[in-house]
Amino acid sequence: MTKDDPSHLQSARHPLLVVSRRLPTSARLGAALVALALLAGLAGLVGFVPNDPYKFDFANRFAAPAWDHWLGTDNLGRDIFSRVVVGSGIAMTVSIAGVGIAMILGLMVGTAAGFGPRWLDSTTIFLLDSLRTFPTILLAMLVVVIAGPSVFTILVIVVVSLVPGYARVARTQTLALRNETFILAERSLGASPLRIICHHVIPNVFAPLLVIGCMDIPTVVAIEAGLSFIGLGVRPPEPSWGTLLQDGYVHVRATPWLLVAGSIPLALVTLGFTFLGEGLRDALDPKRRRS
Amino acid sequence: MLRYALTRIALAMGTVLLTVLMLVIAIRLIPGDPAAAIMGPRATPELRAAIEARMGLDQPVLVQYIKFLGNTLRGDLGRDVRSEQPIAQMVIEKLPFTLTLIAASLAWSVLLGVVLGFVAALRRASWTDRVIGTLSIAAISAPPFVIALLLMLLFAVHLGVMPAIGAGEPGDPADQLRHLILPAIALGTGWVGYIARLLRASLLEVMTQNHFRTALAYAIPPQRLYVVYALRIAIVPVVTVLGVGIGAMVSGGVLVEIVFSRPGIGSLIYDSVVTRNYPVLIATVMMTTSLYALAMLLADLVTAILDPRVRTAS
Repeated sequence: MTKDDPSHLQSARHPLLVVSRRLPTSARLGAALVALALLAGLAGLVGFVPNDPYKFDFANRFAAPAWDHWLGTDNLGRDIFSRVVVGSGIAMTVSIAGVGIAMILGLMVGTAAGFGPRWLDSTTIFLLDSLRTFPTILLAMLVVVIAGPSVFTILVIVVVSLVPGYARVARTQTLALRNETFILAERSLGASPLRIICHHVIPNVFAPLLVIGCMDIPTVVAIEAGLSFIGLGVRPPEPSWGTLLQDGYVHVRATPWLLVAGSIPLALVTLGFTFLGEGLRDALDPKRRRS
Repeated sequence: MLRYALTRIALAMGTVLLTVLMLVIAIRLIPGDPAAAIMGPRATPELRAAIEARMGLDQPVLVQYIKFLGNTLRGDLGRDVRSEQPIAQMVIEKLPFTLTLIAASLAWSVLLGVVLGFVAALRRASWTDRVIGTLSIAAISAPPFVIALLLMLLFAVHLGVMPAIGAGEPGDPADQLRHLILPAIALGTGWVGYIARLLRASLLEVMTQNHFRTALAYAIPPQRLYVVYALRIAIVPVVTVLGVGIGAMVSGGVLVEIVFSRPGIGSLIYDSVVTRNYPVLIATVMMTTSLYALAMLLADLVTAILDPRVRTAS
């Protein structure tokens, strides 16, 4: 690298690096927990676990944590640790897919409302507000009654309950941008709305959406666990954190380990994504940075 | 103001009406017929037809919907097919339990949240502030039903100092209070964090304003300065957010009620979902959505009264 070579300067200014340097310790800890959760989720999906999570072992029910069962065994003698790992596969899939799909839909609805005619905007806002007013857990119960409990049903519930939030952010940003001079100039040169959305609106809403998405993941994990806990989500014998908690709740007087094992990953994932989201928000928002 | 209020009231009523319509349609969409689900395989065709007629399922959706709304306006929510009890009475019996739980959760979380937010703002950027901030985020992000499970494990099962299930003996306030403590802690914890953060931010903003600086320059005693000149103004957003809080607690309370086997609207909804008792489900969901919409509406109106910018902006 010569003295005049500006590449080192450019690399130092890479937005990701700049953002990561501004993150406080709590957000870095959050990022580490998020990475751990994603790894556990991946391990759960490919079945990389120390024991068979479905194998009954009645001679060994309610065993306390030991070397061959790191978190003990449940009411059917199944290895709790392996079930926690497989459960994290479900939790991560539902939360990341749910937030991702909701974000794309919200972006489409929000930009359409912001760019479209006034009647479209007010109709969309009315529908979004009605959806927002509807308590998530009730919505979830109703959808489950109609469609039956499954991972796909949970995904639908998550998407429906998250879309209004993303759509509102996208709409506000679109409304703010559509009358900016540079957008008007580009439109007068014949740029299509699609081009303006792709080149200006999406890059501008990406950061706030990323932050909201990050902080929504704990909500989604809690919805999945909550529904599975009351038997309206993932069905046994499939191990979800919610079904683990349900087993722990039913057998609370026999062993505390099921409840503890079910709530620790939930707590860690929740804390991880929330701290990372908080840190990202402060790092990406110039106003907060100054204060 | 009147126009804003009317718009908000219309929106709230629209939400409730839309919800009930969606629910009535949704029940039609459910595969299998609900009468068979209730009666099981023993149901004879005559019995099934009788139950369907009782539930109004033999009529077109729109007729069923309008009839339901008309009856609701007269305070008649129909009768439960199983227990023969009027549904309105079932709801009225359970409602006080849910409202007590929400009131208790809100009361302690507002008290503690305001104190913590006040301390954090006064000691800005100190380690106290940082600890309160971190704990607040942790509290906000923890799902209430998981807190409920852990509280039950620790205090009811392990230590045995608190009752695990139920709402206490009727007519014994001390026992009922003991049964209220753990559920109220579970439901309120998140709001402590939320209110603490909100009040801290709001106080810090007030403390940069001119009237506060002037008061500071006049050497007004600290207690009076912080309580009268800062807290009284900074608490406005907290008051307005309580409406949203009540709404969120109606929703979050469902799972907490289930964990502690506490009677209430949440348990009633859950039971009607599990047993496919649709008339009870429609009635309870309508009650809950109305409660939720009413809380949001009050929050919006209070905000508009306190802050004129809100009502002129929309």
